[in-house]
Amino acid sequence: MKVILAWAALNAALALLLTLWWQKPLPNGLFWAAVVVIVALALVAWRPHEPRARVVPELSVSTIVLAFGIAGLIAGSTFGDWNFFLSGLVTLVGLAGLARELAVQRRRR
Amino acid sequence: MSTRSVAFPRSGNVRVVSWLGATDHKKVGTLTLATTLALFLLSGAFAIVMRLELALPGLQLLSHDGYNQLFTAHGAGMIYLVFTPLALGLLVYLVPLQVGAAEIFAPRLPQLGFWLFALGALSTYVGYFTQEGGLRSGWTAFVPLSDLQSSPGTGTDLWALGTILATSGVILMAFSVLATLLRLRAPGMTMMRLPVFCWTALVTCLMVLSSFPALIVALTLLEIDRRGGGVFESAGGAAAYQHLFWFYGHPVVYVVFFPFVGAVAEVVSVFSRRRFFGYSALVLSLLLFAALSMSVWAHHMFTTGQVVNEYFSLTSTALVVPAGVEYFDLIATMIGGAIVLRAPMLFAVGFVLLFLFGGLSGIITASPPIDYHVHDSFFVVAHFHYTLFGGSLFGFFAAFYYWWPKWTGTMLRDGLGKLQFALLFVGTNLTFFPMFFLGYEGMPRRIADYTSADGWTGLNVLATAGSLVLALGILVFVWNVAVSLRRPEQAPGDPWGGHTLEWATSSPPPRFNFVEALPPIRSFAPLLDLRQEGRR
Repeated sequence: MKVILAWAALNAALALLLTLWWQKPLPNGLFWAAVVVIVALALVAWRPHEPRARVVPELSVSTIVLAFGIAGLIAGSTFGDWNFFLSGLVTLVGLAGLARELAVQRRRR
Repeated sequence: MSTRSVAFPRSGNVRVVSWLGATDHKKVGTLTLATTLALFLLSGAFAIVMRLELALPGLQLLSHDGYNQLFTAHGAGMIYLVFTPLALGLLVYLVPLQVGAAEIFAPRLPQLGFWLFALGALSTYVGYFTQEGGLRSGWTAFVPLSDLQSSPGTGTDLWALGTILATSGVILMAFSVLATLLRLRAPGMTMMRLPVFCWTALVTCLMVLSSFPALIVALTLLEIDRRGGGVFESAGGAAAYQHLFWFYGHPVVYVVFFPFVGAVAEVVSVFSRRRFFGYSALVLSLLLFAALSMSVWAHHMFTTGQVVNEYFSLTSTALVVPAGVEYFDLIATMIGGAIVLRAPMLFAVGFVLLFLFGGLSGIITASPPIDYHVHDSFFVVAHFHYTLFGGSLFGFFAAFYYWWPKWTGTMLRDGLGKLQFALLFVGTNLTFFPMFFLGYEGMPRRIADYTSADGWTGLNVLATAGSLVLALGILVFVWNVAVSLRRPEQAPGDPWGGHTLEWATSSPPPRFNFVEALPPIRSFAPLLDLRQEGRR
């Protein structure tokens, strides 16, 4: 998308000014990394896409299970390894549920 | 891009599950808004306790450590768990409607985002109930204050990991909204026909996606450091953390600002009965504003002596140019308009007035010599509360009163809305204006106590009195919502004479947003076009 590329160009100009002004790796690296992310977003948005019927699920309990699994993996690790492994299991259940939902969705398309 | 949505079979009939498990962007948006508003009341209550503590010299209610935990819970709660998800929740609900889409892009993404945010919020608050308490080093969690030696215990870990979760959730929501804007627009809706609110949504999402990962990196490294990784132990470690943090920490201020500017722009044009003035200039200024705000992060580090102050002062001061364009457009839209002063418009005007204080005091602190004087003082507290409370919150209330009929099909009581506005406007100025003087006179932020010899008592009493007026205003808001839900007044389909597509469907909108064919889209205000042609 042109607008995202335009925004990337604005950011790149400001990042270039910073690089010329101050040759410090971390701040410059951060700013240029953001520019790269924006360009990547533009490229993804530019990918040609065909209009198609979208089969929208009304409920997705698997997504909630997945969220609990991820939350347990990240924050739950504070409470010990048992929580980490339990959350890993919940994450797998969530992912399996999502895969099932997507398979049903694909069949209905 | 036109899409056809097909209903997927229900996998449950329980009403609670139909909300909690919903992929419908309207339900996800509503859940996000409701959760953030509940957390807003909690974080606001923390602020009232802090203000009561500060009213008089000495310790009345809290210990020093309790105060430290409280201001951290207040600040971190408001930024990570209230304003940021509040802004994204608004976008998740409204953007698909405004672009004429039947659904949001990849509906499970914002759903997952909401749940990660909610569980992240839970994790951060659970930390405060651990033996050693929660984070107490401020919402920034600067090292070495937040390292294992200074902040022992699991509370800080739970806070950091919860914040990573909540921020990841917001990133998922932003990706979905951005993709909706780029790929699911109705036929005829070119980029230059996007409503103003959608443009603010677009720059908001771009900023989230390009700057928020820095916070996740910073907090992940902090966790590694706390588990013995020694990440920030080197001489430049503290400054490195600050760079990572502020690369997120400054853009987030605009993430919680832009959507409300967009909402205020919609409200101002609708309640002035005029097309928004200077659309193209606003679009350009938004892009410039967002880019500049990516480049100013180290102005928070002027006093560290480890940044190039000239560059960051220049870009920070340059922000006044796009901000000025936006102000000019908002005021020019009102000039010559037939202004209707209903509650949403009052909040919009309040936003314009109060954010001016926040913006101009930001320009003052963009000057390093002045920043050296007021850094870490109550001047900065006043500055960012004028931007966040006076700006974002007044913008949010403008949006809330404006779109409530769309969300619920009912009207909020206008009289109570006006009373709430009056209380909040007086309360905001009474609370935060004295803080400019307190800061200028040298009162540091984040202290629980001061002596009467400091001479700050009078201004602190004023600020505390103001905070109680603010609390009363918020209670009126809660009362208004409760009354309007218990005794609903039916809203017409388009009670305000809206300009954008969300008003072309029923209130609340059906599952796939639009039942009838969309009106022709020939500008950023398609319903105003129809009205001017006499077809609506």
